[in-house]
Formats: sequence, C-alpha cells, structure tokens
Amino acid sequence: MYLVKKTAYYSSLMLGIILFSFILFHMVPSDPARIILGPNAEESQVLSLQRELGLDKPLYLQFFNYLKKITLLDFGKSFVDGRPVFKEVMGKFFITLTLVFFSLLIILVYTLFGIHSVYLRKIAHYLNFLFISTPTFFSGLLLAILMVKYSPFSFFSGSFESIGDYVFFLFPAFVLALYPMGILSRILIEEMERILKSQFIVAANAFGVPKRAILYRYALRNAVIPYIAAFSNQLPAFFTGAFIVEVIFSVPGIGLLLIRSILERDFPMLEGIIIMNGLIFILTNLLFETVYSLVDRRIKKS
Amino acid sequence: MAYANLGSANRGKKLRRKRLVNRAYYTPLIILLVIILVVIFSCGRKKESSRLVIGLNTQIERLNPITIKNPQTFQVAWQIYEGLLDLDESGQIVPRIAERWETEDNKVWVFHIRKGVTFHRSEIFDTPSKTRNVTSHDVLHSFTSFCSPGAYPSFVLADSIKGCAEYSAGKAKRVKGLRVVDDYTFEIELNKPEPFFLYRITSPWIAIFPKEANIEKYKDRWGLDIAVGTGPYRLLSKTDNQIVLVRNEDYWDKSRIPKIEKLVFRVIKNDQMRFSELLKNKIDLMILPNSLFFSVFDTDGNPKQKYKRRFKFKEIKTFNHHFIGVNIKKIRDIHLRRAMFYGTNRKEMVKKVLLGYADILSGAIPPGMNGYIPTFKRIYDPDKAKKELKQSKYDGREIELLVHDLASSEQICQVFQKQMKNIGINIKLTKLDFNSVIGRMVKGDVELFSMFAEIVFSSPEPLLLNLFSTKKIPVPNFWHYSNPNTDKRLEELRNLTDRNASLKACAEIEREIMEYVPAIFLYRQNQVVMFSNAFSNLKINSHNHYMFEKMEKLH
Repeated sequence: MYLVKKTAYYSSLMLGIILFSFILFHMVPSDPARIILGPNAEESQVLSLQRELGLDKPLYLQFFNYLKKITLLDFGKSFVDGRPVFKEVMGKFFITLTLVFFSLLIILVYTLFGIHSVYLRKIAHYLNFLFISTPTFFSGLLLAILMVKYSPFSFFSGSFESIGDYVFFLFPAFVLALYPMGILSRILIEEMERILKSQFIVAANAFGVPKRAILYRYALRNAVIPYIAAFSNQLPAFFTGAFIVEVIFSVPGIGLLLIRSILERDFPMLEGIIIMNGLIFILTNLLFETVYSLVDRRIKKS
Repeated sequence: MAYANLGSANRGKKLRRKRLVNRAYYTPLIILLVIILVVIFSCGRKKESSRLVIGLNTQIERLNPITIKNPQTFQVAWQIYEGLLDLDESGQIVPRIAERWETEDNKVWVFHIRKGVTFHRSEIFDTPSKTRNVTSHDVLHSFTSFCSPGAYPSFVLADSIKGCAEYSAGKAKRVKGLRVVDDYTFEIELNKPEPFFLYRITSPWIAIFPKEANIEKYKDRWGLDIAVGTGPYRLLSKTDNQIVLVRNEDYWDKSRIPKIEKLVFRVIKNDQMRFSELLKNKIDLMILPNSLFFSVFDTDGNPKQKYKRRFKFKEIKTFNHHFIGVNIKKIRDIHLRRAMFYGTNRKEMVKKVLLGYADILSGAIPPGMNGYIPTFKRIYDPDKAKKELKQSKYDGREIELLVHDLASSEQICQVFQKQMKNIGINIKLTKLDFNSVIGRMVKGDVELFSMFAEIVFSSPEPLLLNLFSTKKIPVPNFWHYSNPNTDKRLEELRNLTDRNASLKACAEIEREIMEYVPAIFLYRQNQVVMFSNAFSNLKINSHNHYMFEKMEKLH
C-alpha cells in the first residue's frame, strides 16, 4: 500500500511538471520558427518551418503527441539545430551533477572538520557567518578572478579529459558549497553542542568511554538526523546555485544550457531540462526518505 | 607514586612510538602529494610548439553550415568549410571550389568545379581512403540544403535562384534552378538577370559539404563530432568549451597549406577572464570586446605601452553595420525622422563608446564595399535638425526605442537619447533580449529599434534589393519603406553590366532612400584583434573570414 501511494503521488507530481512546463513555454508570445530563421527569412519560409516543427497544430494535440513520445524517452530534437534533446540534457546533467558532487564532498569534509574539537567549532562558527552572508555571485566572481590569476587550471575543456579538468572543478564547487556549507555546519554544530550536554553523554564520560567514540558514535549519530533533513532541503538550492556558478566559471552544464535555450526559445530543450530536473528532485526525495529510516529506526514508513 | 611514574613512562614510550609510526606514514604521503602536485602543475603548463589558441566569448554552435548564425562559430566553421568563391583581403573575388565560371545573359551561371579537391577524411565515406573528390552533386546537395525550410542563410539565395523560394516554403520538391550538367559542371538559373550574382555567394557561409551528411546514421552527429569540408583545417575534437582543428595535409591548394599545425578555440565567456588568459599566454588571440577598450587603449584610442610590447593589434573593417531603425508606419512625420537623422552626432557616439574604432555611416552600404563611395557629405547638422523639428507636428511625446544586450546597443542609445534631448525630442529606452527585439521588429509594433547586421553580400546591389524593395516588407524591410521609384531603379540594376555604372546607380538610390530616413545608420564597427607577437601574418577579409592558414609562428 505504501509503495502504491508513493508511486501515485510522485507520478501525478511528474505529470503536473510536464503539463506546467509545456503550457508555460507555449504561452510565451514568441515564435521559435522566426528565431531559428532570423530576421531576414520570408514569412512563407517561417510558416513552412512551423509546419515542419508541428507548431501549427492545436496545443492539446501537440501536448498529447509530446506525452506519447516522452514515455518512450524521446524528448524530440532541438528547434535550433536539431540536437537530440535527451542526449544533450543527459550530457549536461552529468557535468552539473559532477559539480554538485564535488561541492557535497567539500561540505561533508568541512562540516565534519567543524565538530572535531571545541576550538574548531569556534572557528567554524565565525566562518559559517561569513559563508552564509556572502552571495554566490560575489564569491564566485572573486574566486574566478583569483583562479584566473594564480591557478594553472583556469579552463574547463567541456569534458573530463585531463586531471586539469577535475582540478578546475574544485573552484566552482567550492563557491557552490559556501552557502549550504555555512548553514549545514551551523545546524550540525548546534545539534552536537546540545547533545554533548545531555545526560547519556555525561554517563558515557563517567564510564570512561573514549572521547572519539563519544563524539562520533553517540553524539554525531543523533545529531545527523536534522542535518540530513536540512541537507535534503538544501538540494534544490544546489541546482539553482549551480546555474549561477556555471555562468560565472563558463562550465557548460545544465544552467548554461537552460539560459541559452530560454534566449533561443528552444521549447523541446527547455521542456527536457525541466522534466529531468523534476525527476531528479523526486528521486532525491525518495532517496532521503529511505535514508531517514535507515539512520533512525524510529522513523517508519508510515 | 611509583605506579604513577611507571604509568607516565609507559605513556611516554607509547607517544614516541606513535610519533614514529605517524612519521613513517606521513613522510611517503607528503612525498606522493608533492609528486602529484608537480605532475599536475607541469600538465597545466604544457604547450605545443605549433598551435594557436583562440579565445571566444560565446559557445560554438553545431558546425552545420545551414544552421550556423553566430559570427564566433563562423571563425571556426570557415576553417573547415569552403564555398565556390571567396574574397581576398582586399575584397576581390577569388576562386575556391569553383575553378572558373561563365554566363552569357547574367541569368544562367555555369560553374566549373575544380578537379582534385577532396573532402576531409571521415568515417562517413565508404571509400578505402575514407575520402573522395568533390563533384557537382555535392554542390547541388549543398545549395539545395541552403534553400530548405530550416536553413538560416536561405534569404541569401531565395530571391535569386529559380525555385529556391518555393522549395524553402515547402511548395516544391526540388529547386528548379539548380542543375548538374556533369560531374564537374554545375549550372544555376536565376529568376532574373543579376550581373552581381557572384557577390551573393562569396561568403564561406554558402559552403560546400558532402551529400553523405544526410545519411540517417550520421545525421545526429553531423556538426557535433563530424564536420567534413574541404578547408585547410579539419575537425579533431569538439566539446562545448573547446574545439581543436588540425592541419589538412591533403589540402588541394598546396600554396595555402597551413603553417600552424593546430588551432584550438576556447570558450571563455567572461571578458575579463579571457583577457587575463591572454595576458598569461594561455590563449594567443582574441577579439577585443568593447568592455575592454578602456583598459587596453588610452584616451586617444592607442594601445597602452605595456600591451604594445607583448601584443600585436589588427583592426578589421568588416561588412557589418549598426543602426537605429525607424518604423515609417509608426513615425509617419518625415520632418521628425529627418530631425532625428541630422541631430545624431555619430562621431561623438563612436568616440565615447568605441574610442573611435568605427567608421561613420550615412546609409546602409558600408564604405569600401566593392569600391562603393557614399555620397552624403555632412550628416550631423543640429541647426538643420531643429529646423526640421519645427516643421514637424511633434508634440513632445516620448518615442520608444528598443535596445538589447549585445554590441553596446544600450550605451550607444543612451548617447542618442541625450543628443535627441538636446534638439527637443524625448526618447524612452526599453531594454529587451536580442530575440525579443527581433520579434517586435518583425511584428512592426515598435517605433524605433537598435540593431546591427553582419552583411553576407559583398556588393551594394543585393543589399539594397534585400533591404528596401517594397516586396520585402515586413522582413527584412522592417522600416516599411515603399517607394515605386526606388523599386523601379532597384530593378534596373539587373541590367547594368558595367561595375562603375552599377555602383554609381547604387549611390544615387541610397541617397534617394535616405531622404525618407527609414533608418539612422550609425557606424560600421571595426573589430580589433589582439594577439601574441609570437605570431605574424594574420589575414582577415571583409566577411570576417580569418585566414589562419596564412598565419605563422615566429621562432
């Protein structure tokens, strides 16, 4: 019953995303055929291309045809230059996900580092304040300038061909990680400090349990639940943040593709991006729901 | 007490052992880390001897000749593809894939395809050598593709070639005017005689590519990881941020085999970052964007001494022009239009925003285009502007001017707004993205719009026919200019076979058109290319075709 309920909920959510994205882009008062052919093309040629792209059909027919196709993972081809949408979006998602992965690693290292001792917790407290109050576009530009000036890896070739491409990613990943790093570290430190004062920790100290075991096995395990909840809440911000970071660092990920597709009114590409984005959020939500119950057995699938 | 001492001695031993163990672990780790860092840093600084790295500011489009529209993509594509003809640096027509051509009536043009021109080696060819000769069948395929409904440059040929407009509108199955006579002879029949037809196809935009591009299994890859032409460079790899081209050793013109082995095009969108890369010698060449003019040049427009020592500068006069279009249907008052025309101080605009790197325009035809000389002598005349304004019925209302985010449109129009204010005209600037401005221009619901155009024709006749014929309303005659006399005189150009007479007629027609002010043509911007002084012999023609094959690296 649980599975049926969840599947029905998420399927309806997905359908809503598809419908919303389709209607939104087809309501925009602009003609993709005209944008593809430019300002010099004759009206007859524009009408011919509209027919070829299926834009002359009623909206509901266009929607049903589209729905039929995407069930077979056929997202169509770009209006602008005929690139297959699915392949293009997946390729770009891989780059964005790599960026997000790198920043998750940075966050993980930083937040764990911040709870190691009282002294480090104090340093992290000040750093968190700085990270939270610095907007991405500012820290991004600052780091980009420093990167270009001092790093030998100031260029990403577009695919992961050399070590340099991976090293380059550390800079945008760090910028992307800054804000969530501040938030998550603060939550974890506050939670840790609260737990470290509680009775069972005092008892564990009295029994002579090693400090490291108390910190990581008893306190951290309890503090991690709100941390995971906050983490899952921050995930959408990772993707929107990634879009800004991609523009600043010229990373050809999903953000740059989205901006280009909006400017070119490339509807199939835009719909593909939004649907894939929606799918990723649904999957991560499902993942975190499972992780909660694994970390804390008190949370049941009910 | 004794126990306590014993305990502390043991603890001391333990600590020493722990330190030793730690040192044993950490020393190789630190050495390994240093080695990794040295390898990484040396990788980053590796540079090949014969390559030129070019910095670009926008992402490269698919390298499919029929969909390319971005001038930055042309820089790449025109190393790979060639057309039947080209222009040299001085603007003269030079034969490329067409060895020679002839016409008797200026209506039917016969092109003789050069024998021995081969396409780049590629998997799309089934032949054992993975290449084959270019034949007139490829020319037919390419020209037909340029007339297809999805082709961006179809406007270049649609009016001219018989049946091209019908094919692009989806009303015909083939282009009637294109014929293969034999494997090496190709015939083009036009709707009407055009002594200036060759000037329509001198741009490498109208490139020749193999008919195998249409094979189903290569269709999705064409222009992405497969791009096959006949040019001096061939595609080695393409990602979103980097394209690598390598010298075509089999190039048909042995005198033009490139001296530089590899061309690397890198996309670095941020102007400042791209410039920093140039200063660090990580890229060798870039076009200077307007935003950097004030850091690179002094107030007189000369390169600053610190850059002069390390870099060369080349100014290119291309066939592009910037203008403020006027919708005659919306601004019917001719005196108001003339007031705006004479009240525009183009020199001030160019000096303030572009540090003088532009040539002032009075009409649509860029000076120097195929020997064209403009006839207007004095175009900025504030007294005349005020006089015209007095004669007009202008009531002081705000006139909307659409500006966009490209080519300093907003800054230029701010200067224009101020100049109009000085003569008593109120202008309101509305900023939209470039495509939205085009959308509203086409719809015709705008009064004034800022725009620029990369001109594909290399002679004034097709340009005037395209922009000012009545039948071209609403696109690309966005200004809704209609004058039966102009139409008649434009048609007469088709019978003028003498070049000088034709150019003189163009100048007179342009003068007549500008009397009605369908647009305020502002300037032709001169591109400034900044490149490392380790290179020399950079040649660029007016179509903005970078002939990198002529470039050399100095030792």
